[in-house]
Amino acid sequence: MKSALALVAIGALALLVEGALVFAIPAALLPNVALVLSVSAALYLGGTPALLVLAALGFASDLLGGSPLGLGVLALLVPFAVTRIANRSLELRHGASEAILLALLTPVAVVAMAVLVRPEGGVASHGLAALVGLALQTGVNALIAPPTCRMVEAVASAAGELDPTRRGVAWIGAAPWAASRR
Amino acid sequence: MRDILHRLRLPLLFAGLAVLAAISLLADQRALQAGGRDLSWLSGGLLEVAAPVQRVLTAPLELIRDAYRRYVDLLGVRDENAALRARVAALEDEGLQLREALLASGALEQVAALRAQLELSMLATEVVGQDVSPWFRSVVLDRGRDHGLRAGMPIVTESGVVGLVTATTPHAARAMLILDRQSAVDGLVQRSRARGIVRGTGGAELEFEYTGPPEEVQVGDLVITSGYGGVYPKGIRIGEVVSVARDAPYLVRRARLAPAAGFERLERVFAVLWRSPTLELLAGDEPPAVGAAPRADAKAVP
Repeated sequence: MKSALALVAIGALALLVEGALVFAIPAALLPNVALVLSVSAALYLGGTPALLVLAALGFASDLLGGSPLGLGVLALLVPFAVTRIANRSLELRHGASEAILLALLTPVAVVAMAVLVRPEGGVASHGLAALVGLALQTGVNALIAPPTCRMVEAVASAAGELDPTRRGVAWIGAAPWAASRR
Repeated sequence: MRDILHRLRLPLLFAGLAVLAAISLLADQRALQAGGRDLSWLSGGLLEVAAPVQRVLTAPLELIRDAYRRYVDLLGVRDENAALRARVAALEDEGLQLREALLASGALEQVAALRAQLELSMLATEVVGQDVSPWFRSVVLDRGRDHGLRAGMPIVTESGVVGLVTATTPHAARAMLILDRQSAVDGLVQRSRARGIVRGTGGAELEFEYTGPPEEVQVGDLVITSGYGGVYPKGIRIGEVVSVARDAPYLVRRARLAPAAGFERLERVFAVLWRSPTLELLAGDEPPAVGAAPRADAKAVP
């Protein structure tokens, strides 16, 4: 649980910084901190601490952002579940796969949010500008995913809490580094 | 049994969190429909910590942006000055003519009375945080309950309506902007007096929905608050019509508005220390007497 608490503190600070940065940088160029951190936690921490990180950051982003309380958590649950399931059978603990995972999960989180916000609306109701914004944020999330995962891995390792339940199936024809990482 | 529970721990926790989040969401939506709320100690505590931290983080960014803006503003200031002087002269002339017309119709006294009735105390507050998601348009303010702010109070700038306080803590507050897709303001076209609802689109523009004849709304018309919604006082600028959907086959017609308040440069805003009697009743407070003086404990800003 120590690593989960540390990640919650880091995440909350990142959310605060992001809330201030939005005055200077377009929102589309800022990462979805809660999503990136909760997916990283789902990859490297055990289920319960990862869920704690998700819950804390989801509620914190709602409070700081102004969205209805609980919406952030609900929107993050889908990417979290996808990550936990995919992590059982795919080698996701690697820079490239982490970036690809976040690139895929960013639209998933957006669609989840769209469904929750206004069932009849969705991304289409926001038009082309929103889609460009989504594409930009997907890129930013994918870019920061590997360093964030390294940070989460380091925190989990330091606390001796790296996820032990992971099955650890290698890539087909896995390279030696893949085996050594496990 | 313990083994099963242990194996199902994560799915159970997952489901529990989903239920908790859904309940929070419904409670929050209900509170918003009832005109906002005071945050719980836990939620409020986070916002209390966040507001000063964000103010500190925003300060250097503001400094850089302000310096850049001053430099840009200086470019072409001479030409702008000359144009403004000419405009002031024209407006002064127009003002004199209007005053004459009002005096002639005996309406000036009524206008003065109306102004006195509408005069409300306002509290200056800084915007210290902003929502980064494209779904919601809200800001965090650095003043809260201890300064007189209550959920349901309107937020304005000198240019027009900004939004509404939706949640408060002792030293901070959250406000939903009129750009938010959940926002709806009862509006009035100043020229034709056509009434309608101004809705947020989530983007930079607003949508004005009305049911009257199409000629009642034209590009360039100013839309102001009607005072009927029970939230905003009458006569505050909302925005200017930039396009009208002429061929709409429906009863409800739509026009796009450019908001009067400069949302791209939202720094200092004013909270109107007033809540409609309806909101006071919903909040469980005593409704203010008609024409009651504004809160005396609040710092009034002229």
